[in-house]
Amino acid sequence: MDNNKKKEEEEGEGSGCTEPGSDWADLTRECLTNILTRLTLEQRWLGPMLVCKSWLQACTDSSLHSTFDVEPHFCTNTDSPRWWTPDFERKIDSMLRSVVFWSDHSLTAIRTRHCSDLALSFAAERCPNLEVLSIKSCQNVTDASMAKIAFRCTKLRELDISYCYEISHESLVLIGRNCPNLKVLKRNLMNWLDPSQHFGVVPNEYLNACPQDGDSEAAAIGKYMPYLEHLEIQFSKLSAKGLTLICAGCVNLKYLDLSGCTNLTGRDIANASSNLKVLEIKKPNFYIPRSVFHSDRYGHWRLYDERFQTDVFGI
Amino acid sequence: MKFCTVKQYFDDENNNNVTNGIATTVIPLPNKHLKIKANNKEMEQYEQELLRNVMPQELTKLILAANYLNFKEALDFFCRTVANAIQNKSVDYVRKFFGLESDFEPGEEEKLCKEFAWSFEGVDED
Repeated sequence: MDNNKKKEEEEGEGSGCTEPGSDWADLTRECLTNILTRLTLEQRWLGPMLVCKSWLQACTDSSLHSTFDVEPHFCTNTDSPRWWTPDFERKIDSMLRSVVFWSDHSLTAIRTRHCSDLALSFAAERCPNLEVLSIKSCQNVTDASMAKIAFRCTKLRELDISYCYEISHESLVLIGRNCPNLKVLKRNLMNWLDPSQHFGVVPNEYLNACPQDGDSEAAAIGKYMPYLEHLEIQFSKLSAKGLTLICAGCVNLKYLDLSGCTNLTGRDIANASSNLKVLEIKKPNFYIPRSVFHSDRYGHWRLYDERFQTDVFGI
Repeated sequence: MKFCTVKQYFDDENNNNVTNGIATTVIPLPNKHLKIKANNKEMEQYEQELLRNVMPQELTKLILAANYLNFKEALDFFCRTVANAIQNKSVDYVRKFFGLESDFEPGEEEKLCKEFAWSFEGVDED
């Protein structure tokens, strides 16, 4: 028996890898899962998942789906007009729904862009253990699905709704009231002072729909998010009044990004944050232009500010 | 105790799970491991060389053997190697590599392809 088996092995080695193998089908589910956990979602999706029925089953096992993270695909490339199309949104929605379904309530993190209310509502209903939700640039996510997230995903720790212009301060109120674990909130807006870098990529009507009520949002944050430690509100239009509400309410705040918040002066910032001793603040650049394209040319103005302390006079 | 299953194997003569060929590959691994445990790079080289001579068909037997013997380090190593071999590869490549055939119904695979379209750009060339 052993001799026969040895012969079989030798023949196998000689003929290369094209012999149809019941061997791999025999590969125990445990071993297959061991292999599959070492691949990313994309690597599984594009290859192993559609090999055969048992591999499809293995690839959709909930143990492989504790996170849905496609953010690396976005942040390693420049913003593409293709991402802002309805067709792309449908594809992202479809992927998110699949993973939510496969995760069987075990999903703890979603990091994507350009999904819609439909997929997000679906996720809210099936992800009670969600701790991280990063949905930047979701132009069709509204307060409707955010309300569901607030009520169903109460373990939320980190939320990024930057560039989502259909979400209002109402969502911030609901999230604050229902998610006591929230430590990180990012609600950055696009550079509305000089939006030239977005032309031809982001639809113009979307660029123009930028939220204007910075103070309402600040009030909601200050009132309902007392445990917040990290807050980013780049290009918010909040005034000194809003900033004061944030600093008074978020007493555990350690990091605050106010880049592009041009309604604030240096004095406003110093006064509002005087009660928070351990706070690191990223201040707005007080000199025009604020565009990333031009910051090289005008970077030296920051030296002027530091040397003459003109920010103290609120210039 | 790593080798209680090995003892069981030798006691049970009719065991089909682990052939002699595999036993000679897998079992020496822990000794080698202990000998050059301090030097990770050497171990890596040894393992790479070992696997250059082993075709995919053998890999499956090695994995099952390591699993049966409860030999975690070997199992992890073989699985890691297989994962590296198939990452960023297409469905057809993975099938060919393992000698597997699709068992989907005629229209089913197409339907699945459509349902599970990946939004971003794809794979390496086969």
